[in-house]
Amino acid sequence: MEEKIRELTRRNDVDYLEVRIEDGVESNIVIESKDVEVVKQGNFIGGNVRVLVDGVWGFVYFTDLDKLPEKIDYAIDQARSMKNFVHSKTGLAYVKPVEAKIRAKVKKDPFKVSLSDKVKLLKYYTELALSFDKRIVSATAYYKDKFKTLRFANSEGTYIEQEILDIGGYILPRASNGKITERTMVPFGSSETYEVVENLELEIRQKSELAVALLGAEQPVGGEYPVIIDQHLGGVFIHEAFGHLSEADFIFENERLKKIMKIGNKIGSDILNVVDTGDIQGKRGALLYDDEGVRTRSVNLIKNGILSGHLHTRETAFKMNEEPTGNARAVNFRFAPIPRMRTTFIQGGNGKFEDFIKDIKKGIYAKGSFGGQTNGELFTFVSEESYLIENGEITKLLRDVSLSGNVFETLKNIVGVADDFTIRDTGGGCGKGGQSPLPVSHGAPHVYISKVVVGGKK
Amino acid sequence: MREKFLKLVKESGASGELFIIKSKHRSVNFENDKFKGVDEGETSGFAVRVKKGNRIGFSYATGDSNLEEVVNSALEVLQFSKPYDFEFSGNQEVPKVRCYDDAIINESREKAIDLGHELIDYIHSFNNDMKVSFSQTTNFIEESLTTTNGFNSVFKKTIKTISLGGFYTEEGNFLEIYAEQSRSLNSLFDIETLKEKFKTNILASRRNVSIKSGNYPVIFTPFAIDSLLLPLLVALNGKNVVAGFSLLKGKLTKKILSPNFTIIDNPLLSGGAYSFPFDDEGIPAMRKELISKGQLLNYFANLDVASKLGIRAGNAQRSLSTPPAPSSSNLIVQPGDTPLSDMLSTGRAILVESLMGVSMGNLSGGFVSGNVEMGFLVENGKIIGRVKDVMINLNVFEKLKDIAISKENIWISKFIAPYIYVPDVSLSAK
Repeated sequence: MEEKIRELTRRNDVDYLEVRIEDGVESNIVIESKDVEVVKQGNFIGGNVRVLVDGVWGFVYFTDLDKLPEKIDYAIDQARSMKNFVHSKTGLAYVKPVEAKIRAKVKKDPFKVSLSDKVKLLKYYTELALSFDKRIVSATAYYKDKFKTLRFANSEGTYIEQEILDIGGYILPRASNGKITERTMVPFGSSETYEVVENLELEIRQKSELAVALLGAEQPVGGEYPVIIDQHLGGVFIHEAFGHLSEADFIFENERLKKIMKIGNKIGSDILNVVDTGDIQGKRGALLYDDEGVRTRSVNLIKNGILSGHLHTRETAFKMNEEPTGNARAVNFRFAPIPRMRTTFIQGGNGKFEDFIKDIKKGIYAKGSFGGQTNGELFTFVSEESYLIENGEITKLLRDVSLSGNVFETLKNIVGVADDFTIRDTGGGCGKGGQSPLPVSHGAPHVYISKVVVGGKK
Repeated sequence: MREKFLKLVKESGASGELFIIKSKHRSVNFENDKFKGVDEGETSGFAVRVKKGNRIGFSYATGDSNLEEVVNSALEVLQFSKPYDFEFSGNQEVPKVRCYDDAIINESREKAIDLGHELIDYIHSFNNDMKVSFSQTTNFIEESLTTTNGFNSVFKKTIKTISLGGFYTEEGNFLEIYAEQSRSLNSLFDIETLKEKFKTNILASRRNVSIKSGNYPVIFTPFAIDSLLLPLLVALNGKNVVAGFSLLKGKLTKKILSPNFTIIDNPLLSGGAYSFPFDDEGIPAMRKELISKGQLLNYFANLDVASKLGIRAGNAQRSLSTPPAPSSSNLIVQPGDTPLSDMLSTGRAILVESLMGVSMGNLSGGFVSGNVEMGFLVENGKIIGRVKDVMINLNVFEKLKDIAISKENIWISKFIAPYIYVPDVSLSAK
């Protein structure tokens, strides 16, 4: 396969050509309470050709790899036939050709654990949640693993073979009293070890207890509050609120946004530092080479409150005259790579969580998250566990708390960054442009924001 | 492949179901006002389910090789199965549904490019600084299903989707408008509705207005109905009823919502993007009234759920790599008798066009909570301006008990929906 791909990508009649082939195995288990809902294993294989001819992109994907030679010709014809319709030509930032073969670094291989042992463990978890309290009406365990080999070659002489392992999932207890339903989540994820799925008993008990307690909790009174977010929610917040805005496909052809997102602009409070990196081994966002064969590099998105970097593909880097960062990613062979995050986090600061609490007369402490969404300027996320803070103390548990705000105002309203940074992987993934779920990671320390809009009752 | 499958499964002493899917995809893409290029792709794959006693195993693969391996893999995982009380579909007559159109297959790329330019120019006539993205994608799908019980049928389907997005930025104020339309017949596209949405949203967003936290009457436009009804669809899913956490469990035949609210799932809809002649388990397509005049009549069900709840199956949907699960097809919310102009002129109200973050909220608890991504303050029939930084929070099982429904409706993609007026909704503002 290697020789064939190398030979076929050696073309002089195009500006640029790349071939990406992926094949692999995956398994998936879903347990609904006491029943095994899904146990499956499958193989997948597919590839694509992306070509730039006279400044025009052509992209073709396929599952029949024998057709690779004809698909290359077809992609070139496609792009060539569109030549007269494209008025702005594009290009790619220079990257030195590389040759690399990367084997996955695996600690405990999920594919060496039998399906039967995985099913047994997950069933034990759901039964543990159900047995906690009668009001736990259901518990779902979701588990997925995937091992793939990506082969990438381009017309510039790059050839990369990269193995990628991805494990993700969650245990989700649901409590109900017939009128209210509440849920909590114990997530897990890794790019190197099955160990993250093991020894979750204590957390499942705690989250089952929380789900039941939420049935008796009140909804917050809606309005603006000082809010402390925990490490997990802080990670989701920075991913949603700023990470997506840093993706250069959003910026590179928009003169107005270029001004707002210009390097050197004061974007957040002085204590805010944000990084996106592929370097944190074992996390789901770990990545050595992106889907354009570019070696990933850590990017300081915000340094001491100053906007310091963007997340690029080779095309956006070329158009913005910046260095490629290795953020071109595609969820699978059906898609062309676009700028995406890897592991994104707020760096730890000097603050103390206890001091933040003491500082607040009336506010909200929000922990954990079921995810978030953004449209560039506005963001919203839902916390799993929230408390009212009154006169410097955590008092009542609150249910169904969603937080929202304006990205630019909120980054400036960060008044405290604690010293307790962590990253906890989850089983979900990031979605953009129909490409979902892409494995990413995010983390933060406790972060204190002076003003956030909280949805709730009147 | 079918004969080989039937032989393999029979030899192993099991019954079985073979699902084969082939798809071709083509798209024309514009980003930031510019034509960017074309994508094309084709994929194929198959999935099998095998049943021995009351246990079922599932497996799948891309391409069309390895049938034996996949059947063996399904037989291997059968040991983990929960008990099932249904048999794979037998030979049945399937209805004729119009969901394939040669005109979609044969449409030239040049035509799509022309439409892209036309829509971009149209949007620029209202806001020249708005960055516009446009894509037209066409999918051709061929699905076949064969069972050892005698079901053997194939259908072809086309789906064309037009997506249009506008993004306008100024310091401290972003405006994003997005709309799409999907159909399976080319003559059913309604470009004027897309244009009208952009025109009204752009004009109404020229001014931002702030509101105070409190309870307001809210009018959900047809574009926001998918968000508003998301918790309802979770509760109507028979799988969640069986799992025990649907708030509609045990409420069949009960009055649960306003007497003017009716929602129907209709895979027989001519030209619908979600139409099919038989579902992904081989059950002939049929129209299902889920809630009629406020009364709960049915749940979404596949064969498994149907056998457990004693209701009709026919709502199974699957992708290549997932076993069939209950899901919606085309959804029709019946129009009411209130003219939209009456709704708009009842004093002060918030018109909600899109919400953000609802899918991450507590849907099984019935909650629609999120950010009002696109919403307008309306006073006595006039749009005053755009409201921003506002959170919405309501429970559909409480708030949809007392609503007004408009005479007017719009066919978007999955939904054909009217405007819904909810008199008393909690909004939180900064």
